[in-house]
This record gives sequence, C-alpha cells and structure tokens, in this order.
Amino acid sequence: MSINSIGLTGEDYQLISSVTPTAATSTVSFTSLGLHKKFLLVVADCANATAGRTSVRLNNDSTSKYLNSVAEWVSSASTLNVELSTQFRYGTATGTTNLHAAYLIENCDTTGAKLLTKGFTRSGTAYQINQFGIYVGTAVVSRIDFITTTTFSATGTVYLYGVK
Amino acid sequence: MRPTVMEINTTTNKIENREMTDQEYEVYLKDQEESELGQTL
Repeated sequence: MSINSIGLTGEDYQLISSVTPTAATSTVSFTSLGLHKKFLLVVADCANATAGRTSVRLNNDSTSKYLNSVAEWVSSASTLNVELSTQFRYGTATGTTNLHAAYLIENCDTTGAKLLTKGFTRSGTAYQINQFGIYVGTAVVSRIDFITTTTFSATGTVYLYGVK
Repeated sequence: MRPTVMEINTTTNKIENREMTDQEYEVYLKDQEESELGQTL
C-alpha cells in the first residue's frame, strides 16, 4: 500500500514519510513535523520481534494526558474499556503476528484537545479493536512516535500522511 | 541492551537509528512493566 496523495478539496492527505522499522528498534519517531491539521499514521504488516504491545505518543509526552476508549474483540469475547493513560494504547493482545492499523489524529494545529480515531487488527488472529481517544496536551503536534514494548522486526512499513 | 529509536526528521528527510536517551529508556521500562502487569487497554 503506497499512496502519495489522497486529493480531496480541503482534505489533501500528502505522504510525509514512510519507513520499514529496523530490527532492535522499539520506537519509530517522526520528528520536526510542520504545522498540519490532521495526521494519518498507517501501519502495514509490521510485527514485534517478541511478544509485545504497540502504542502511539504525541510530542514525546508520557504523562497521563491520553483518554482511551477501546472496543475490543478477541475470539468470541468483546470488551469496552475507558482509561486515562500515558499513551494511545494498544489492546490487550500481545504477539508477533503482523499487525495492521490506521490512526487518524485531528486538531493537530490547535492548542485544544487532539482527537484520535483508530482501527487495529492482526494477521491470522481473531482480534480487532476500534478506539477513540483524546489527548489533552496544548502544544501543536510536532512529533509522533509509534512504539512497541519489545522491539520491532524489520518488516512492514509505517506511513505518515498529513493534511495542511 | 537498550533498544534503538528510529528517528525520521521530516524536515531534512534524514533517518537515524540512535540509542535511547536515559529518559526514553525509563519510559520504555515502565511501559514494559505495565504491559506485563496485563493492563487492560
């Protein structure tokens, strides 16, 4: 999957950067981001080297400013959780199977709350989550980190798009 | 051994694999701890 531009009037998603995580890396960090209204982070076929969980942080902020509301389905059971956290969290599942996710982050150019909408699944696993999140940091978004609690395998691609 | 951070400077398009800072490593360990404790989110 590689789209350089999704041209819509007032909603032109431009590819900012795309990378394949290198082995032994636990954080893919997009820094020095210019002013954008929205960012779209797409994770295609990435995997953990050992069982781990993934998450996203804004502006390298690891304080409790992230409200997560997660509807999760694992095999035959579904749950709904709401939590104040130090990151936009993963779900409960850990693992090394390839994961696919899309994170839409809005209001990035304002001092108000930033809004997250996320979909997430894993290859070959009966596992899906849908998530809504709010980040209450006041600075505009200039850095986005995609994180794992272990390390990534050198596989798949992380894409970052932006709308100015 | 500390994992690395893959930093993509989107202004210069420079990609660098660097060692975690002390503060980043502390956060990494805390995240791992929470993950092992089985936090539900």
